[in-house]
Amino acid sequence: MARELLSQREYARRRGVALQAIQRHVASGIIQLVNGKVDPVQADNSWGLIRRARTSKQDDEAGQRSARSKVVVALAKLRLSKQAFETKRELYVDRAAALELAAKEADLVLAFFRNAPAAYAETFATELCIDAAVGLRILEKFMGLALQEIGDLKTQAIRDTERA
Amino acid sequence: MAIEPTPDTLLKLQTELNVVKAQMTDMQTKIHQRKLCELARLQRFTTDRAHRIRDQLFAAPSRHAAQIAAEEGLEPALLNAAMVRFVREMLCAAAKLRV
Repeated sequence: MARELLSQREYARRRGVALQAIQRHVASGIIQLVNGKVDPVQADNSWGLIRRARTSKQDDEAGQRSARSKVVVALAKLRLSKQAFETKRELYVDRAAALELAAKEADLVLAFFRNAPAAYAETFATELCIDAAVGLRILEKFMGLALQEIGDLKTQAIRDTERA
Repeated sequence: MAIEPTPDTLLKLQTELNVVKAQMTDMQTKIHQRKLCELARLQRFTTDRAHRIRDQLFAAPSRHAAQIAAEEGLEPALLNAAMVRFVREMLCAAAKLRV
């Protein structure tokens, strides 16, 4: 009795696969056509075996090990990337926040220097055996001259932060 | 370490990895845009500035003591010594300032 031959489309439908899959295997020579038709016995014996082997392997131990290995590799890559990111993040600061801080710091230091004569005037006057008011006047004059020489602290702090 | 992957474990890890890569790229972009600055460089500039201020303040009494002493009728050497002490104490207190 002659074997039943099927069209590629019919064979694909019966095996529950896409027509393109069958066409691909025909092109690669795994499925050999007889008068332009598929011989189901030949096709099942060649491509069918490969297909069953592939699908059955997916749930076996080797497949599980392979999946676990991929996860371990992905996990290691993720940890490395996170570590690299954290390390780099610690090396940089937000410039806007740094500028704000620099300005605040300069204001604080300047205010401290300007208030220093009043805070130290009494001790200073006692050391020199002069009146506290004179001591204050001397220190204020001194700090005025010193701060003039130092220049605009706030501008310097902002400029340094912009340069960094 | 025992790993029992579920079908979406790998996908989740890859997604997380992509998120970290995106964060890294974002940071790199901000560095190029100068929105981020190098902390070590900033600290170096700040320290240099602080040292410059300290040095100028320490040198100030020797520059101004004589003139102020003459104006106020004081002994220049004594005034200079008192000013040096004032500067030293003031700088010690300034070192403890915190924003």
